[in-house]
This record gives sequence, C-alpha cells and structure tokens, in this order.
Amino acid sequence: MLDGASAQLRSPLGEHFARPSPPDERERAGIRVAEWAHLGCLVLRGRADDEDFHAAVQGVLGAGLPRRPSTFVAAAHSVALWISPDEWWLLLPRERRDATLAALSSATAGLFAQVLDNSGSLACLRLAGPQHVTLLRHLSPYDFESLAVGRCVSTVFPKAGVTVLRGDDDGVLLLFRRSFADWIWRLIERSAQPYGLALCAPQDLPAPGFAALQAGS
Amino acid sequence: MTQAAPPAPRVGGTHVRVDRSRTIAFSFDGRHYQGHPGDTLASALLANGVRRVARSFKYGRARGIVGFGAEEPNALVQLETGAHSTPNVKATQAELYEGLVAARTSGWPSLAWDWKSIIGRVASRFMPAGFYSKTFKWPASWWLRYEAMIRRFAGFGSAPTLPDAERYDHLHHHVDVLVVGGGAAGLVAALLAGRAGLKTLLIDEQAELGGWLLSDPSAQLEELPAGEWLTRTIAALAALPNVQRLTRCTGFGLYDQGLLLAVELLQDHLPIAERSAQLPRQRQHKIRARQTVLATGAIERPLVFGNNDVPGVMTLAAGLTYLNRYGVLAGKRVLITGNHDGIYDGAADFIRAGAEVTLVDVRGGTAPARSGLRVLRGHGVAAVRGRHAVRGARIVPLAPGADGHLQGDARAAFEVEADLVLSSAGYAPTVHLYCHDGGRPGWRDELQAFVLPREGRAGLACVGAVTGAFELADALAQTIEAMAPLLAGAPKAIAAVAPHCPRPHREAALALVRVPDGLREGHGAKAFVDFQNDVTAADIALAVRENYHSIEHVKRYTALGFGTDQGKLSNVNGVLLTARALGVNPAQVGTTTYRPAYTPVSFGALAGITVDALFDPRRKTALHASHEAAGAQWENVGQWLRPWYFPRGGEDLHAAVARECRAARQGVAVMDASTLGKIQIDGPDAREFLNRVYSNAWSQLAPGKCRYGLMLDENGMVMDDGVTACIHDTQFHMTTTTGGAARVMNWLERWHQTEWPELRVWLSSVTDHWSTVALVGPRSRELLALLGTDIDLAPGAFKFMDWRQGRVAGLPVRVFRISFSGEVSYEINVESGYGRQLWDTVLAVGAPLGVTPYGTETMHVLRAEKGFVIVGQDSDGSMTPVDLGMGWALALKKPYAFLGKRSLARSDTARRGRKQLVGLLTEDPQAVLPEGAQILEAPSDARPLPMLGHVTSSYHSVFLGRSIALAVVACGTERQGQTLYAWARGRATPVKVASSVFVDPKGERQHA
Repeated sequence: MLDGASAQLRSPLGEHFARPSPPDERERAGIRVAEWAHLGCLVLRGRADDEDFHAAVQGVLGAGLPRRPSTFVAAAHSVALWISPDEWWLLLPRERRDATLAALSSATAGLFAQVLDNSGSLACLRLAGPQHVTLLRHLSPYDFESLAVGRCVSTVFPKAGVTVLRGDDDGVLLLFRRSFADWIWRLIERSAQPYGLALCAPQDLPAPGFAALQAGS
Repeated sequence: MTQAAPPAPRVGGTHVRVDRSRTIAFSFDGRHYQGHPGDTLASALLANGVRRVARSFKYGRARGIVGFGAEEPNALVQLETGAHSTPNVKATQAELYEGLVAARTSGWPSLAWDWKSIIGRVASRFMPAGFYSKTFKWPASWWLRYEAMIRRFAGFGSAPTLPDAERYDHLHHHVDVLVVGGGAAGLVAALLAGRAGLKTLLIDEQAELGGWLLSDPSAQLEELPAGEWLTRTIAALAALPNVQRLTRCTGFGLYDQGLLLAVELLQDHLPIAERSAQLPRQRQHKIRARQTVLATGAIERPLVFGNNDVPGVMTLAAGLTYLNRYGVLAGKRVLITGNHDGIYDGAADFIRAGAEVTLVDVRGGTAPARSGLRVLRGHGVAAVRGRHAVRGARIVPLAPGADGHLQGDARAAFEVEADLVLSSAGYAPTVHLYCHDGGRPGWRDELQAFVLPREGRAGLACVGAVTGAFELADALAQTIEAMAPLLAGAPKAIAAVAPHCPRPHREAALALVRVPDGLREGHGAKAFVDFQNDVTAADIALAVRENYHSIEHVKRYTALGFGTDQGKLSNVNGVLLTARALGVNPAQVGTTTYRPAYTPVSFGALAGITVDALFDPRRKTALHASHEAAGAQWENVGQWLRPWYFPRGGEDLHAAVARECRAARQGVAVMDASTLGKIQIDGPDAREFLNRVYSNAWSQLAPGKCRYGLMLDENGMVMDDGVTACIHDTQFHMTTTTGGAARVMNWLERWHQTEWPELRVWLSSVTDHWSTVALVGPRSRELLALLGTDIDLAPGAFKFMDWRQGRVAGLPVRVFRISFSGEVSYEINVESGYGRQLWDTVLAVGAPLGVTPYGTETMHVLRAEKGFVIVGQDSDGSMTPVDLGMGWALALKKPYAFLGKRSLARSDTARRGRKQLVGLLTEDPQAVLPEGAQILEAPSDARPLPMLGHVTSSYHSVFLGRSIALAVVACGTERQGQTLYAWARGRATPVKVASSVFVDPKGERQHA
C-alpha cells in the first residue's frame, strides 16, 4: 500500500502548467502567469478588538495580523491578509503548515477564536507582465490601477470570488477556490488573448513582495 | 428598375476624409459598387447614385438616406451573412471595407416594386394612427390570426440564424474625468482635464475625433481652419499620457453612481477575413468616472413638409457632411429650406462645390443678393415632387393668418426644379445620457430646443451644443466655464482660455416645424415626422383630437420615436407638433422618457466573454479529470459538474444505472461526494447554535458521532438537510446539500450576526478543502481494509453514524460512516490535493472486488429506494418535516426554540389534509411514472378535476425488479393501500399508495 511519502498532491491548475512557455514567448507576452501550487492556507477568526487573540497570534507568527482593511502583512515565513473585520487568511509554505496550525491552535486555546486548515481550497496564481492590470480590468470591476503595494481585495471575476494581493509593482497574487479554478483559468486564457499569455514556472516569475512564500515553494 | 440618379461626382479638397487614391468594392441589395477608404456605406451609395435604399414600414414608400449618423431612420441594412450577419445596421454608421455585403431590410419582393406600397398608395388615407388597433378588433377569436399576419409584414432586418462567429469582451475603467463626445467642445474639455493632470478618458462614436468640425471645414478656431486645429488639438491630447482616447466608441447608457456603459466597435470596420482572431469584434467599456463631461452635441431637426420622405430629401447637416467630409455632391440643383441663418452657410458650401442652389427661407424679409443663389424669403416647401427620387418641389408663399400662425397660400404655389432637398428646423441637443438616470432637459423658447443646464449637475458637466450653445464661439466659451469647477481641485493649475472663434451676426430664427401647405392637415401630401414608423403630422393631430394629450400617449398611439433610431430626428418635432395641436408651450408637453441604449447594442457586447462554457462558473471537484477519463456523463448540480453516470461499452443511461445500482446493493460502488457543502463550526456555543438552526437535538451528540439534521425556514418549511459530525465538544463539521451550500452559509451567518450575536461561535466554509470519496455497498468494509487503514473497522468499534480520524491508503483522512443509500458506507474525506490519488487508488485496489464508480442518477435511485428525500425535489418550500414523514426529527422540548418551530403550530401548517410524502407503486411493475404526474382520486374526463398532489421522484429499481415513485399527496399517510391515479401525457395510470421506504424498512443493511 501507499504511504504518505509517496502520496501525490495535485494542484488545482497543475495540468495546465505541465509545459511552460519557452523563454522568448515569455519575453514577448503581455501577461505572464505561474501557479503557486500547494501553499498552506490557514483561516483565522477572532474579534478585531480581542487583544489576547492578537497577542497569541503574534506570538506564533512574529508579526501581528493586519488590522487595516484590505491590507496584508508579510512575516518571516507567512503572509497574513485581512479578509473581513474578524477573518484573516494566513498563507505559508506547506512544510510549515502543520506546525503553524498546531502552534496557533494551542496559542488560541481557551480564547474565542477559530483556526483551521483550508489549504485544500486554495488555488493561487502569480500574475505579472506589462498588461497584467489590463487583464484584471477585463475581468473585474475593481479599480486595480489604484491597488497599492501592500493591499489586497476580495472581488469578483466576473461571477466567481477572487482575492487579489499586490506585493510589488511587477504583478499580483490571485487566490480563489479550487473548484472555480478551471473556470477562472479559462476566463484568464480567453481575456489574455489580445496580449499574449505565457505560462511560467514559479522560479521564472519572481515576486519580490512575497519572498516569504516563494522561498518555500 | 432604373436607378433614379446618375452617380454623384466626388468633389472637394484636402478637408475631405475619403482616400480617393484607393477604391474598394462592396455590394448592396445584390449589386456591386465601388467606394473609397473613409466612406461609410451611406456616402458610398450616394456617390454611386443610389437614392432608394428602403421601403417604409407602413405605406411601403420609397425611402432614401436622410441623415449621416445615429439619427438615420431609413437606411437600415442587413450587414454580412451567415454567422457574421447583423440586422438593422444604419448605412450611415457602417464604415466601408473591401468586400462589404449589405442587403436591404425592407421592400418585398424588391426595393423597386414593393407589395406594401400598393396598399400604401391605394389605402393610406384609411390607415391613420391607431389603424391596426381600430381595424383588427373583430372578431376577438381572430386576434392571433391577425397578429401572425401583421407580424409577417412588420420589422426590418432578420435575426441571425447561426451562432455569432465573433467574440466580445468587457473592460472596466476608473478615471477622474470621462468626456463623452469628441467634437470641438469635447476636445477642449479633454485637453483641459488632461493638462490639469487628471486621469482622463475621451470617447467618441465616430471613426475619428472632430465631431461637426469634420463636416464644417470652413469653421475657424484660433485663426486656423477647422482641419488644422483638429490635427493640432488631437496631437496635444496624444502627448498627454494621462489621457486615453477611444474612437468608434458610443456611450450608450448612464447609470447610478456615474457608471457609463459604452461599446467600442473594434473590428466592424475591417473586412471579415482581416479581423484578428485575438481581438474582440466589439468591446463594452464600463466606465466609472468621478466627473463625466457630456459633450454629445446636437442633431439637426428637419422641417416637416409634404412628401419630405422622397429619396433625395435630407437634413442640411447630412447634405453638408456628405459634401464636405466624404466629397459627395449628392445633387446639382439643391433646394435648401429652413428657418435660421445656418441655411445661408450651408448654401455657400454647395455653391462653392458648383451646385445651383435655391434657398427657401420660411422667414420674411429680404436677403443680400449672392451670385449662384436664388433666395425665396417668406416661402415654404408645400410638397416635394418625385416618388423614387426628388425632381422638384412645390413652393408656397407664407403669411401670418388670423390665428397668428403662418399660413401657406396654395393658389400662389409654383414649382422649383431640384434633385436634392435639404432642410433644417433647428437643433435637438443629444440629451439622452443625462436623462437615463432620471434627469430631464429644460425647454428654451429662444432656442426652440430641449437643452441641458449649462452648469450641469453633481458629477456631471455639460458642455457645448448639448446645452444649447449652438454657435461654436459660444460652445467653447461655455465649455471653459463649465469645466472650471472640475479643474478646481486638479493636480495642476492651468489657465483655461477658450479658443478664439469668429462670432457671426445672426438674424433670429423662426419657430416652425410643419411647413403650412395651404390645406387642412391630412388633406395635402403626407408630411412625415417619424420616417421609420411612418408617423405623419396628420397622425399627431389626430392623436390629439382623439384625446391623447400626454406626449407618452401620443408616442404610443402613433409609434412616434419607437424605431431603431429611437426618434432622434422625430421626437422633438413630435413634441412641438403636439404642443401646437394642444395650444400649449412645448415646456408643458415635455419629452418622452429617454432610456438606454442610446443606439442599438449587440447582445454579444452585453454578454462579453461570459458565453458558452464561460456563461456561468462550472465548478469541478478535484477528482474531475479521473471522471472525464472514465467517460462520465455530466449533470449540472448548482454550479457544479457532477458525474451523472459512467457508461461502459455503449451502455445507455438505464443500463449503466442498473449496473451501478447492482454494484452498490450487492458488492461495492464508489461515488464522488465532494460537492456537498461543508462548514466548520467552532466555539463554546456551537451546540446551542446547532440546536437553534436544526429542528432536532444536538446537546447530547458525542465526539466521534454524526447526526442527520433538518433545517427549517421561519415558516417551518424544510430548506436544507445534511449530516453534521461532532469533532470535539466545541467543533462540528456540518454538511449541506450541494446546491444549498452558499444559501445555508448566508442563512447561518445572518441569524448569528443579526439575531444571536451573543452566541460564541465561528463558521467557516471548508467545502473546497475536502474531497469526499464514498465507498458504498456490502463489500465496502472489505475494500476499506484492502486500501490499508489504521482505523478499527470492526462493526462494533466503528458503528453506523460514527466518524473516525486516521489514515487510509497512507493519506490522512476523516472517515464518516454515514449512508445515503441504505448500504454500509464509508465517506472518506481527504484534503483536496490528495483527492484524485485517493479516488484512483480506490478504483485500482478495488478492481478485484469489482468496485464500480457511480454518478448522481444511481445515487437518486438508491436514495429513493430508501425513501430519503432530496430537498428541492421531493419538497418545494411548502413541506414541513411532518409532511415529509420526518416528525421524528422535531425536538420540540429543546429549551430554546429552533427556527421554524412556532410556525409548525400555525393553523395551516398543522391542519389535516396537507400534502404528505408517500410511496407509489404502479399496478404494472414495469411502468415508470413521469415525474410531475398529477395524482387524481379517480380518472375522469370532467374538468377541472381536484388534484391531490404530484409525483416527485420516479425510477425503475433494478434491485426490486419494478418501478418505484415518491409523491406528495393530500392526506397521503391516511391513504396507505388506496388506489389512486397518476395523470400524465394524456393517460391515467393506476397506482397503489405505499410506504415511502421500499428497501430495507428496518434499516438493517446500513448497520451491518
């Protein structure tokens, strides 16, 4: 029988990225995209004014959760993003997931908080290239030209929920549910046609704003 | 069949925007012609001498090109064929390209000889406004026949019969300033906003910027001819990186909060073969601007006079545009008539081009003599001569009558030869966008126009002719004024000065629309107000006589302004004629309601990319690729794609389902249950929360145990169901129906946030985190053991409705021993990334046991055999738990009421005689009832018959070797054993009322 070590994780869009575009095509393309597969994603729920909760989380992560709406905070090994006044998502390399989940659960034990693993839900794309904002403007009503570095927003694409994080000027991260991944991918492929779409390996599409995640992925 | 006019000569100098060094071929109505790049279909047809392009809607009269843009009422063509076919394109807006194919949209059997024209000529005097509703009334039983007949003759182009071969998309904009309209005022406004450092977007419907300046090369701005000023201004805009320009882009709707929708025709002007497959044909722009500037200009109103619809009668603006912009001199003997000084400017252009011009000015007085120009002051056109093309006009002297209105003197009429008649009664500002969200224009007597306020309104500036500033100098000065508030807070301070323009002396215009012909209205030649719907001045007078006094009623009675042109030439004239007939000021009549879209917009542009497979999200489970490889047939459940059944070797649905059912009842089968909604509930009050949202009790559920829960709405009706497991004392794993997941999540959050904020509980959706593989059947335990697990599978250790955490096939899992089939069943939950591996492993390891994947159809049969309901199929929002035979799921003694509890005691909810869920067995065991069949007490031909209920689920059960059905029937539980009748498809089938549980009523199998 199989054991855990030989278990094969499959990412939501892995099949589409089986053959990355050649370098010259990558250069030419107006839009470049890479799948960040297998990230860990924890959901943290707690009250915005519950200082004990925030202290407990900060104790584990080394950085506090963002309290300003639509912002995220990158810690040494994770990125915490504000989703709503009482919900945050914590993105982190998969190998840190179980330990972090356990540490957060134990740090918040007895507090009014929820910590859960939602990694299986997560589809994540890095979107970059000179036309990446145009692509976002094709897909969503949000004012992406005004989305500053350090900010994130949950919006629609155009009928599916997507969370967009800007960590640097080169591009953004897109987070969405695994079950919507295929549909959203088709939207991206279709909308990118006028500009050229290059499929990249994560290492070929650096994301300076998310070093904490890329190092481990 | 002869064309009425010889080809018109091309004239003009450098200001002409047509490139005559190249020719392009096109066809219209089956004939081949040549035009030049820069032409529209209309200008090219005129240059080829084509005058008659359509037949009118009601009377079948020959019609020609009247306008030069969006206002064109007559020249509607079917552009291209097959999958590229577009109906009712205005020839005035269709840019010419090599190989363009246009067909007529009216005229049967031909444009030259039209069937309707015979009726129109013989009977038109008996076909006034209201003709159809007055005539086709009797007998009432013939209404449908009349409708079918009339519809055959109505309409213009044909809807395409093939799927559209082209694509469309949407693009969102967020800007500081949006300028709609790229004429002189719009260009100045955009330049000011751009220089002030504001993020600016300028859109214009035409192929190039310039607006009326393109038609008026003699205009002077800053001492430059119009063309040169345009070139410089557009270059200045292009040099500003914060200004974006979009041409061929029509703002068609303005909505709340400043959202403006516009459609850009990206590729309509290209030959079909040259259109890029990478680009959309059209793009809808969704523009959100802090400030919108309407620089939409004005459209010239024609005068209304006898036979003013003969091909060769146009607006003066159209005649000048064809002459100056396209270099088409559409007539050699031009008659220009109007009520203001603009007609003298127009006459000068035609004289320069070598035409012989007669000016018929309805105003009295004298005019300075000018060579090549005959001026008739105090005269009007009584009627145009010619049927298929203008040959001349009958002119009458005009003088004020006893009522103060001008009267024509028919006895003093005389003829003037002409091959082109141009008229102008003033200008109608293009106020549409301003009015889309409820605004109304104001009437100004001195301008004879409905105009927008010069000061605009919050978030909206109005500049140029749209405010009634019809003279260029005034329009530009007003633009500077209106832009000042927008520029006040801009990043850069700039000096805003209007470009200098000459201000010619103007004699006052005369308020006149209908040229009096000396006859009573309705007795002279037909004088058209609305060309597209054949509405005459007499029709409007009749409507008022018949007591339609509101302009909205006049509009509907006469069809004024209802065409694809939306009355751009006719609406204001119609208002003025109505005011005249009512004897009131036009301000009291007001306008009709302006609604989006300003011009027709294709469905493709509205839909964008969300068509076909992208129409709605198609959610896929992590196992999808495996199902696809196995040849699954698909069913849409909510937004999910679920395997419906897995045919093997040419099986149909029934054969596949029979095989899948046998495997589940006799061996082992496997299903992808990942689509169920999953909600993780945490918190010290989680149990109490469950007690309130479910009808049954949750206080005692121990960790490691699962329970079926029934969720009711406030009315006590079942809204969802599912199994919830206790993970530990303060954590629960709730499942919902596939389609109900989002609704249930919202429902729970709503109650928590608005009614019970004191409950300390968190809810988070984990639907996508888990993939669920359900092993089902008597040999499922054997298969689970084969997969390898550290969970003790002994029936005594891992009981029905238990869940366990552990490893299966080396993967970390949660296994729920729950069943939707009545068989022993283990639902293995694994993180979705491992879902496919688990599924593939189950199929590989289970092969020796004959493990059989099954889909939703088999799931439905298995659950129906057990009488398990599907919320939304066996219930419809009007069924209580009691109605569904699940009174056992009501914990009425819980200390805090559950949602819906009180409603269960309401008289209607508690009464006898409600519909209840029962089983039905047909007398013929092979007869499968149609779902939806009505239940009758006895078959009878009497109508109406009392209907007792209907069949909700119906299948052939291969396990039982017969058909089974579930139904909701009035007093169903009391009818056990009765014979009733199921009526469907013209037949009453006798059925016996039975228990809704057909298989294993004691539930021994699932406990095994």
